[in-house]
Amino acid sequence: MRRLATVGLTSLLLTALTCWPAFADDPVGRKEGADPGTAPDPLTMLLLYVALPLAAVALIATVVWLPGAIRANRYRPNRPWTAVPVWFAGPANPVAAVQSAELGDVVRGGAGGDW
Amino acid sequence: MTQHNRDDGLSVSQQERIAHAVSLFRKQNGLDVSVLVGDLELATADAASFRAGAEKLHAALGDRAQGAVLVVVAPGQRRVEIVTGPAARRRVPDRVAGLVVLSMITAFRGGDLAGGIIDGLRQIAQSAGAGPALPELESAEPGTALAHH
Repeated sequence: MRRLATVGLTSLLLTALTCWPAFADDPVGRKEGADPGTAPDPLTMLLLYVALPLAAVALIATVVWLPGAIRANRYRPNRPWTAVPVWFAGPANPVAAVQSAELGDVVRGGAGGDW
Repeated sequence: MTQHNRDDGLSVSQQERIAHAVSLFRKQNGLDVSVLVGDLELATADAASFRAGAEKLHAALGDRAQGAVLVVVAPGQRRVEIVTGPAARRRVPDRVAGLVVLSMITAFRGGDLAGGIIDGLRQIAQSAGAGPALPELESAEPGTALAHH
């Protein structure tokens, strides 16, 4: 019972002490030097709170989009492919090699599929 | 030589990456891998004639054909075919080729042409295991273009 009273009283006292300055007469008044200044004109406000964020969003969007746009060679499965075939580690003269190719009676293995 | 359309075809860096992968596995695994990227000119647009066209290209490898693995990727026809010579088939069984085709198709569907090819080559090389390095090919070009007839 005594302990409860002590705790209650102490906390009450401490709270009163901490918030005491709030009851002072004009605690941080203008006379103390706080100058709110004049409000900026609407044009500046618009620039600051609308144009600037929009510019930031546009900048970030560009930075994200640009690498993909530069890499224009991205393959899209439903588009036609008009590029000339490229053969890696193919025969030295591919056109002649294909024309003179003989299948022979060789059994070839492998697999195939489409997408 | 290689011709670049604005909106399709492999970019120079993609060609370099594929060429690098091909030469790496030729050296590291001693497997004669070859890749052709392009649509085939076929009389009929069915799987059997595509397979026949791919086998013809494999035969065009000449003396190398026995031990060669040819990967044909036709981005416009949306078909991929792996052709193995009799000697290569022992190192890369049809079952493995089937799995490689499946994983390549998944990548191609997502629009990743070069990545799918390189990953596919890696799986083929893994299946083949180690082997004595093959001599470098004569052509130093990243890829030899095959002109349309």
